[in-house]
Amino acid sequence: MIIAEWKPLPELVEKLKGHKRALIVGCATCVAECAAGGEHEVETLAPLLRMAMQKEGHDLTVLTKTLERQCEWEFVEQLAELAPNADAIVSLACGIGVQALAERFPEMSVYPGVNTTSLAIRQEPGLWLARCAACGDCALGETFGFCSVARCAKSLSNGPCGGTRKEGKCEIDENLDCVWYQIYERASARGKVEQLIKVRRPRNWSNSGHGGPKRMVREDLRS
Amino acid sequence: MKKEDQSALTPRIIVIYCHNAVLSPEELREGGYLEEGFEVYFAALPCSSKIEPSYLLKIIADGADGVVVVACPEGHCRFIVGNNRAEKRINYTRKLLDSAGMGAERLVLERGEGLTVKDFLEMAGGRLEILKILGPNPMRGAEK
Amino acid sequence: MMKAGSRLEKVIKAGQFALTVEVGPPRGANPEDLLRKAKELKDIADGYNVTDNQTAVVRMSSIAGAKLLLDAGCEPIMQMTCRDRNRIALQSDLLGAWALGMRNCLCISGDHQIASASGKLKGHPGSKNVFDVDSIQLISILKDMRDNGVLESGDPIAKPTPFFIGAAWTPMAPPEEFRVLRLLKKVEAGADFIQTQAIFDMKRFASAVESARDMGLADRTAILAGIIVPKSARMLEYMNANVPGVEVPESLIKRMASSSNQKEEGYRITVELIQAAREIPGVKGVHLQAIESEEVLPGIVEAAGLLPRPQV
Repeated sequence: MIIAEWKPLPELVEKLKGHKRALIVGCATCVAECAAGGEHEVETLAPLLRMAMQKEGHDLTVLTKTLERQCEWEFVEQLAELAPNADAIVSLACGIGVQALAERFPEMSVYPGVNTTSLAIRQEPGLWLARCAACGDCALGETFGFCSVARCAKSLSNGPCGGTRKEGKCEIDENLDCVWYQIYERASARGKVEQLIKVRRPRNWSNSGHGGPKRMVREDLRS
Repeated sequence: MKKEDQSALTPRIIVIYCHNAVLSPEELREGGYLEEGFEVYFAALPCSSKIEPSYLLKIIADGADGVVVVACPEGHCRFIVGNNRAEKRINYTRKLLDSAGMGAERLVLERGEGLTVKDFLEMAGGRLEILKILGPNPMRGAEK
Repeated sequence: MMKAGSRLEKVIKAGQFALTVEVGPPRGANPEDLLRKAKELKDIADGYNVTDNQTAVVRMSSIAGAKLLLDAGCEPIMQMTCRDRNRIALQSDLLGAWALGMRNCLCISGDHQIASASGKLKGHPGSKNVFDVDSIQLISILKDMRDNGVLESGDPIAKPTPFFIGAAWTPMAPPEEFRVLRLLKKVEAGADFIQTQAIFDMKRFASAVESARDMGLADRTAILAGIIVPKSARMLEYMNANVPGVEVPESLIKRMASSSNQKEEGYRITVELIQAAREIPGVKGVHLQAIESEEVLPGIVEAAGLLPRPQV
């Protein structure tokens, strides 16, 4: 799922100072899964924001609504009646959802309430780990199921670098596994280490964001 | 609605307690007590883990000066991990209160068993000093 | 047949024990520091590594530093990390470096930019990553530019750029069993010489080199043992605990701690390490580093019996 985390509260307060009525919009899909922007979090942010604004001497009325997904126009449309009751929207969705709301309500100030950070898995309750970098050239079939783009700090194709710590942790963060250590262990367990000896050529990054803003078309699906 | 004269406000404390922590649940009634200089309200839960950051924040945003959550002692939760979860949520909510400039100390976790009204009134009264330092809740009397 | 004709290459080809030293460029634009170091270190080594924004801390660029050293009579080994530049910039810099006279290049991944925020420095931990290619791909790129006169794209360059290509090796970092295989990859990609991470346990290193020899690697590439001059027991403890791949035997730390003059004990230890490295079959030289105190190198090199450098 896409994961996100709350923006620091002072950042939101700064943006909302010029407003009187804010509508906090949650999303019940990815950001709910990572406890950043679902209904729960909307109902947590609402009183918190009211208090933070009051502390700065501002009376802010807060309305709330959580949509199934903010990246779907039919759900975004459900805001049509409520939106005019506010003069600002704070979206707790990922960047996609924030922009969908901004596109549907161009006359409104739409602010992001979270920072979208990664494509991740919920490994266990309370722990999300990055898994995919949307590189557009998936090589998971060659790295025994471990992504060396998203999970290697240096995105090495021919890792590991010399920085692997004891216990196979990453040089930059002792809580992170060195993914190349994991790739080697998996290859070794399967008796396929020789597959790691071939030198991998430089990647083609152009099918990802590096190649320009992605535009994907399926003519067979267009009306 | 005019804001109430802040200096004349009596501190308002909510005690949210796990009903497994009290001696005789019938002794406590929902609603308020006016004790020496503070108002206290009680609310029972089947387990302290039923609290959520959103409820606690809403209670304070709606004008409570302080909240005391009473949980069972460590290892004594009849739902095994409930009181541990309560503690984690309270710690998280305290951080949120700080981030809003409200003061983490408005919310506190107490533990005990076989507790009585007297214990709760003591716990609530024990918050008065720190609440005085924090000052009255700026949300008191403010429009919802 | 010389690949690039650098002094380092000649010394190795002549079967002589090679010596390279490391010079850190300044955190500023003043060439004086570097020129002073060049003067102090002239003629004591076969190649002088100029680091490339080591630990992601902004310093004078490796190419600029290397050019200053070259003009001052010290043949540089320029370093290129993969952290800051994409393949376009890397190849462009290689063309320029060659035009300016560089003939040795060490290809490394580079420290992540998060490392730049340490100690008193704020660094640039918020900068964008590049890592377009990795160190092994960079080695291949240099090899293709040298031997086939083409860029990574396949486009030809007007004139091949012969570099003596170097790579790093950290034989004792986990997963240890894979490290010699990764060395194989580097050699396959085209690494002519290897400078290892600092070794303090020559016995352990010897068995790693033996594995390399068993795979025929010690003949295909010149392994230079990396040696850092220890300044204090605390420095050794720090490196042992914090620098990946560096293992310092407890006995060495104790020896430093109990000496009356730790600095001088450090020189003695360095000389012993050099001598131990010389005795390992397959080791073709040493790479000496005296972090922020390059001035101690001439004395150590002399005491290790490595002067004068051979005529080639």
